[in-house]
This record gives sequence, structure tokens and C-alpha cells, in this order.
Amino acid sequence: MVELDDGRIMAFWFAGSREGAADVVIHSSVYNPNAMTWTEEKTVASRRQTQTDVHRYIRKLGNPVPARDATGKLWLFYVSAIGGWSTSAVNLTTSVDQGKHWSPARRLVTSPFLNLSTLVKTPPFFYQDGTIGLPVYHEMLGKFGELLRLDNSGTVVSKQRLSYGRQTLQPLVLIENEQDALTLMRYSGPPPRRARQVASRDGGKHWSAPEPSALPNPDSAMAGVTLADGSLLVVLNHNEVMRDELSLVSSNDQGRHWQVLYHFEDERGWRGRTFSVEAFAENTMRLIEKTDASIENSKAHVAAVRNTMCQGHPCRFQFDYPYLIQARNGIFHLLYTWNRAYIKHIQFNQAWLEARLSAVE
Amino acid sequence: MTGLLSAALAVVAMGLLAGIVLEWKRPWRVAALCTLVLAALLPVAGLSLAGYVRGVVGDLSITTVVVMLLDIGSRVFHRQAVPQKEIITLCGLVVLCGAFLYPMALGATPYDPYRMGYDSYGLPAALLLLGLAAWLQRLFLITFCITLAMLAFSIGWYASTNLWDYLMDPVLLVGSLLYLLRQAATAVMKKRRHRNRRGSWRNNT
Repeated sequence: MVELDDGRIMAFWFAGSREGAADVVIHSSVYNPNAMTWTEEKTVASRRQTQTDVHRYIRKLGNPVPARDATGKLWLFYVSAIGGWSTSAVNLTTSVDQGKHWSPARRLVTSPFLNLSTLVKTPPFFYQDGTIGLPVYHEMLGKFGELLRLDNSGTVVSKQRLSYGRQTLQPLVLIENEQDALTLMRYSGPPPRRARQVASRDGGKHWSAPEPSALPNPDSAMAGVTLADGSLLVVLNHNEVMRDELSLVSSNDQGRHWQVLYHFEDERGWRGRTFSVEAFAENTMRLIEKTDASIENSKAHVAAVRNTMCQGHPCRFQFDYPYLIQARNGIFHLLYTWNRAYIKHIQFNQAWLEARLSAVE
Repeated sequence: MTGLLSAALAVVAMGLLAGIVLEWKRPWRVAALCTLVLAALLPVAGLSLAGYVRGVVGDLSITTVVVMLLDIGSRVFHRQAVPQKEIITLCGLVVLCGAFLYPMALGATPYDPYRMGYDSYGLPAALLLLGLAAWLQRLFLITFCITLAMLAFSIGWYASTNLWDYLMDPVLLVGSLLYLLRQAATAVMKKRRHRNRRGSWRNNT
């Protein structure tokens, strides 16, 4: 998600017949906060078009992350791969007309190993000199986080290692102030499953060694923002086991302690229970109605969820891949994958957040 | 597009490995070379053969391009432009550098030598010294590759802004390893044959 010049929110995601299919394209849609409506989805990048633009074979497309610079120009970084996700590379396309048209994509060169295995998932940010910080991660042989620095023409000018080894990915950079930043990373190693963290106290010149954070996480994606007072707000699956709940947590001491403010989703009660497809469908219907009572054709929605979440294994709930931004008017927008069938949009404001904070204190 | 040319060169080099071409007369060999270049670059269903190769191997380093050109030249014109000793030394150097660069770049340690290729004076300085040392040792191929790679880097020949990508790539590393192994095997075989010949002569007396 990225906020446009006029305050509308533009979202990007990849979708197709299945993950990794050749028909997967990068979609976008624009949210009008006044009308509270999303536009029809539009294709921003396809496999074939990207392949033509970068003059090389591409098998599939993946994660997109957008950014908007001080001039209003939109930057969209997205993943393409020639095989599994470990063979990924990052492509860049830009728009100077608020996403109406996009430039031909070009390939970022980020790795000496055939330029393979660099992926994006978390939001880029801007350094004080206008250069872009792009958190990326590597997945071939090792799994580790890195930070690319791009100049205002989109050229990679430097990179920094945030972690190393085979267990950390998807770095989420939370900038607290001019000097301090905390980066959280998804941890894919053996239990105990705690997100990893590294910190910088010199404006990103150096980063500490990775260490376990106080955040439990079942090796799933996280999203977050820094509030005006420097405290941190993160959305994640706040448990070590499954993605069946999605929580909002906050820290006002640079990530040393976190408190759970809210559960956007919480289906942990179904864990370990054997339940029928019908029971799953019934609960899904309840969740859909709770999300939006005015939703039309809810039975079709339930059928779509059942198709994705009950295929080849017992039915389960899954709420993941959150993406959180705070708009200039202070409203928070959260998107996440809802049972791998839909994207759910939640917005909340500062007053609601403060009420949650005072409720837990 | 410069990267696509390097991939096209790889296609040509692979095509020329087909032994039958090498037995043709020179005009036919040149014709085969031109046909391979065209075949590599001609788009079929929106993408050329070079595009497919580039999808897998990326943009090949300047050193790889030089080595491939030498190889193609020697196959088409049946002339070895560079003494074997120089090629062996270059391959040895590539293997050493690869053993240093790739494991660390793939996350084995907190230190990432690939970063040196972006914003450090250390790598260009080391290359300058290496190029000079190679020149003094009359290993001109190494000096030539380093000079050309640094020149290509300074004019932004490829999309990469990292000097390492102009110096070497995994294809070159694998090729160098195979070449060295082949040379070692040939040397061992030769030694063994020589010893056997000596042995049979002794037996005959």
C-alpha cells in the first residue's frame, strides 16, 4: 500500500490461478477514504510484459512493494523468479502520474550469484538524502536479510547485511528517529520461534547482531509502523504455532517489551479440534458477516475459502501477510490475506489506538 | 541489451562445442558462427534464445566474455591467441576469488565481500595492484581482463553497479574449475603414459 498525492490509498498484490502460476499478475486498486470504496482491480505488471521489458526469461511473479517519494513519484518493486522463490530477483517500475501509467520494468542487480535470490516483502523507506532504503532478503542456501540503498534514479548504490545464516527473512525496518531504528525479521529456525531483531543507533550505518526478540511468531510475515512519539506498532501472528490469529502489538521501549492491543482475528479456539467441512463453512460465514454485514453473495465467499483451506488437509484458518501504513491524516490502513481467498482491509484511527492502549495499561 | 549480448555469446560458445562444426572448412565455420549469433538473438514468441539463457545466468562478467571470445576465436580460426599458462593462471585466480566471494555472499558469515564492489576503494585498489603484478609476470590476459572489467564498470556497460559483477560470475567459476580439473587430469594421464613407456622400454632391455 502507498498513499497517493490526494490521500487515496493504492494497494498492490499478486494474484492468479495459484501461487507461482504463469498467469499470476501484479494487480492494483485504489481506495477512496471518503467514499470508502475500492476501484476495480487493474493489472500493473504481467510475467510476459516483464519478460519483454527485462529481456530475459521469467517463470512467475511474486511480492510487490510500493513507495512514494517526495516528488510524488511512485516506485513499485516486485519479485520475479525463474523457478522456486529462491531463484527470485527484484524488478522496478515507476509511475509519475499516480499509478495511471508505469514505466517499462528493469531488473535490479543485487547478488553476485547469477543475480538470483533477492526478494522484497516489506515497505521501502527514504533516507534523509532522498535515497531509498529497500529491505530485501535472500533465500538460496542461506536465509538472511539485507538492506539495499538506491539513488533517485533507482540505481543500487550500496547494500548492507542485516543478518546471515539460514534462518531469518523478510526484514521489517521501523525507524524511530534520526538515529534509532529497529528491524524485525521472520525466523524460520527451530523453536523457540521468536522473531529476530537487529537495531541501529547511528542512522543505519551499523546494525547490531541478530538476536531473538520478545515477539513470538510462527515463521510468518510481519507489518508495522512507527508512531509520532517513536513507539512501535506491529501486526503479526502473535504465537509460535499457527497463523490462525492476527494481533496488533505495540512497544514504547524500542522493542524490549511488547503488549498485545487487539486481535484482528482469533480462531485459536479451533486448534486441535476435529471439525467437519460444514462446521468450518459455518464459522467462516460467521466471520464474513462479522467482517461486513452488508457483504453480498456470502455463500460464494464461503465456498472460495473452503476450496483453499480444506484442500488435501483438515480445514484450518489462516490470516497472514499483513501490510500496515499510516496515512497523512493519521488513519491506519491494514491489509492482510484472509484465509488465502481474500484480502481484508481494516482501518483504524489514533483515538481507537489510544483507547486500546489505555485498555491494556 | 549489453547483458543480452553476453548471453548470446554464451549460446554461440555452446553451439560451437558441437564437434562437427569444428571439422568444417573455415568459411563454413564462419557461416556457422554468424548463424548461431542470429539464432541466439532472434526472438521467438517474444523472447530470444539468449533471453532464456540470460534468465538463468544473468549478465555474464567481462572476464567471461573475454574468455568466451578467445574460445570462440580458437575454435573458428584454429588459433590459440593466449598461452595456456596464462589461461591456467586466470582460472586459478577465478577459483580463489570465487571461494572467497560466493560462500560469504550467500550468507555464510556476517561479512559480505560483495558490498566492496559498490562503494569501496579497496577493491579497485587491490585490482590495480593485481593487474600490475600480472603485467610484471607477463600474464597479460589477467591484466587485460581486469582493465577491461574496470573500464566497463566505469562506463556502466551492464545494469549492475557492482564491480564484482564485471570481474567474475558463477559460470566463469564453474568453467574455470572444470578447465583446471581437465588440465590436471591430462597432466596426470601424460605422466602415467610417460612412466608406462619408460617401464616397457626397461622391460624390453
